[in-house]
Amino acid sequence: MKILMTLLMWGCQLGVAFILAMAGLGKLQGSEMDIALFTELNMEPGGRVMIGICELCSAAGLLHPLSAAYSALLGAAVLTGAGLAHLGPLGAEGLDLYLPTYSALLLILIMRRGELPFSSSRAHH
Amino acid sequence: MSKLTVDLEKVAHSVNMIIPAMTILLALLGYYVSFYFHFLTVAGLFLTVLNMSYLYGQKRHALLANFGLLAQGRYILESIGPELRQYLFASDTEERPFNRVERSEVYRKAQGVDSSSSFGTLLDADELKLAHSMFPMDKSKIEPFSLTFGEERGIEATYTLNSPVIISGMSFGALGEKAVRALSRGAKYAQIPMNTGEGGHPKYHLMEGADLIFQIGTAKFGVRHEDGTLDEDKLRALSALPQIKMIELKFSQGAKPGKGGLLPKEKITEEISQLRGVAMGSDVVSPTYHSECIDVPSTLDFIARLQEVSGIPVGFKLCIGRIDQFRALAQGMKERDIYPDFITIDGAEGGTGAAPKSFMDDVGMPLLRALPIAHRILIEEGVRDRLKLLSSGKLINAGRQLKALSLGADAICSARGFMLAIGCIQALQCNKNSCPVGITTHNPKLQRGLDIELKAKRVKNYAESLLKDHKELLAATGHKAWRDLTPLNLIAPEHDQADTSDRQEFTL
Ligand SMILES: Cc1cc2nc3c(=O)[nH]c(=O)nc-3n(C[C@H](O)[C@H](O)[C@H](O)COP(=O)(O)O)c2cc1C
Repeated sequence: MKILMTLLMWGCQLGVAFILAMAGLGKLQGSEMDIALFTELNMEPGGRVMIGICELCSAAGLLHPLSAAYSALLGAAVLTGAGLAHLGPLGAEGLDLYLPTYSALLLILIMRRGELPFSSSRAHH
Repeated sequence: MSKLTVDLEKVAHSVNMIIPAMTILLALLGYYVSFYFHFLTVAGLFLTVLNMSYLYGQKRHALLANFGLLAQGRYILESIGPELRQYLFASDTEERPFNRVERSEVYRKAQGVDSSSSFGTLLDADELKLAHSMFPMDKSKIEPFSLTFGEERGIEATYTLNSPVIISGMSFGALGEKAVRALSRGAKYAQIPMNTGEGGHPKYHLMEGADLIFQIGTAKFGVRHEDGTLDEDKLRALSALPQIKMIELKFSQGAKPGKGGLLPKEKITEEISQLRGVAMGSDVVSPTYHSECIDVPSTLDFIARLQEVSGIPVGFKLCIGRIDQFRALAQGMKERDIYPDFITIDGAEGGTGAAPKSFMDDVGMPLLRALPIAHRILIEEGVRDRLKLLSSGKLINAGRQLKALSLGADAICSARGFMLAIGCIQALQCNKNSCPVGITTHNPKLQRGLDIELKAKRVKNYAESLLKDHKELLAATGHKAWRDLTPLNLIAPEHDQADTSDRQEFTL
């Protein structure tokens, strides 16, 4: 059982890392769609680059057990921001991977919550 | 007019309101002013979720359930309290077990820097003090220290100590490999012996070439049969090693008298499980007693057996508990004509790598009470001149060491003094495998900072500086040899800890 959970967690980490890496690279290379989205948000080019870097950092961090929990948190933050954008100016299009990725990140966070400061399973003295 | 006060409860409730309100405000700013505000919205959302989970999603911590996020402040401050106190708030004479004044003295001695101080003592005047003579001794007339173990039995393999201080038992297990090597290399440099502690085959102790006292704990790690009884062949083989000079049978230790040794599972590496012959993954708790020793006769027989098998001096270590039993043991020695070559008295204030708190705090006799009692009983039963008396228990500076010598000890053992010398900062984490200076841990990352050669030199400096202080203090008492120290060389405090009745009896 424990092995299965570990496999699931690492599966999520690898999958999410791949998706975030692709998204981040796209933003840094300035794909047309990203430029269009970020122009809409009035964040071109600074916001696009910042978010792109965050996505890449999160993707890289998910590959190492020491940084995975924090990277999942960062990834979730970026995705929450993306959610806010799509709730507002961008509209609900192009979100096929959104829910699966977000769920995977939440799963990683739940499984690794003990590694995060302030999480309830750690705050006992 | 209302007074300005801080009502933490109200502050906490306000914070619980402000977090979601701020988040909504930031979201509005994000949508209507600049999307960049949403960086903060995201943070606000996360904080809101976290706070809700504290308030409504958990029951373990009442404080968090009642007050939310702000209550973490308490846990944060509490968790760094020891550091705050140590660095900022505790006075120089306040910390336990060793205050900053005591620790700094060891650090300075170990680093070989001037350890003189100025203006006056920071200690209370009403403590046990040494009595100086009106006619101090010329320092050049002080005789070299010499104490020969085993001479009373007339054995061939006697062992002579040339310095009054020994490194007390600390096992590989309690200590990491680098600390053991630094201590034993230092012991070799300083030409003092080192006790191995009850950690089994002393692989790392042997590596550096110091003289060793091999300790047999109640689990007999290193010299045991599978069932925990003594394996004579293993003992014979160990005693035959030229470095092993004496054997110490451990009955009890001041920090946990009446309780066997304890090594928490966090600290059991593969190597330790091999050297001790125990399993990994659970705490190793040694038995509370030697199965061979169930009363006075069997105890003495076992000591005789160890003496015979090993052929070298054999003594035992204990923290004094019941005085009548210690007397019975002394009487037994005389009756059966079996004498240990030495007895080590460990005070209840002694240190440990891991012990239950109730044992550390509430069991056993402190050294300065135990020592004169043991000394007196041994004299009264006519066996004092058949053995040597060692002592340990916070004897980390020359002054306290001379007090113990005046109360009847022949030599001193110190564990934590030498730990401080190799850089212990008294983080009190010996049982957690997280020692920040790499001494009581097996984590290679934490041991990285411990340089064996450098620390070995500190051991040497510390030992030599102690000896120098010993000679100066001895000269002040007017004696030319350590063995001349008597309770007459002590000034008892008004509320006597050192048992004046013994003092009087011995001196007058
Ligand atoms: C980390 C550590 C490990 C110890 N391990 C042992 C041990 O294995 N066997 C033993 O008899 N005493 C052990 N002791 C106790 C010491 O040998 C000594 O009796 C006691 O600490 C008193 O000396 P001190 O006040 O100078 O430290 C240990 C003490 C410490 C601090």
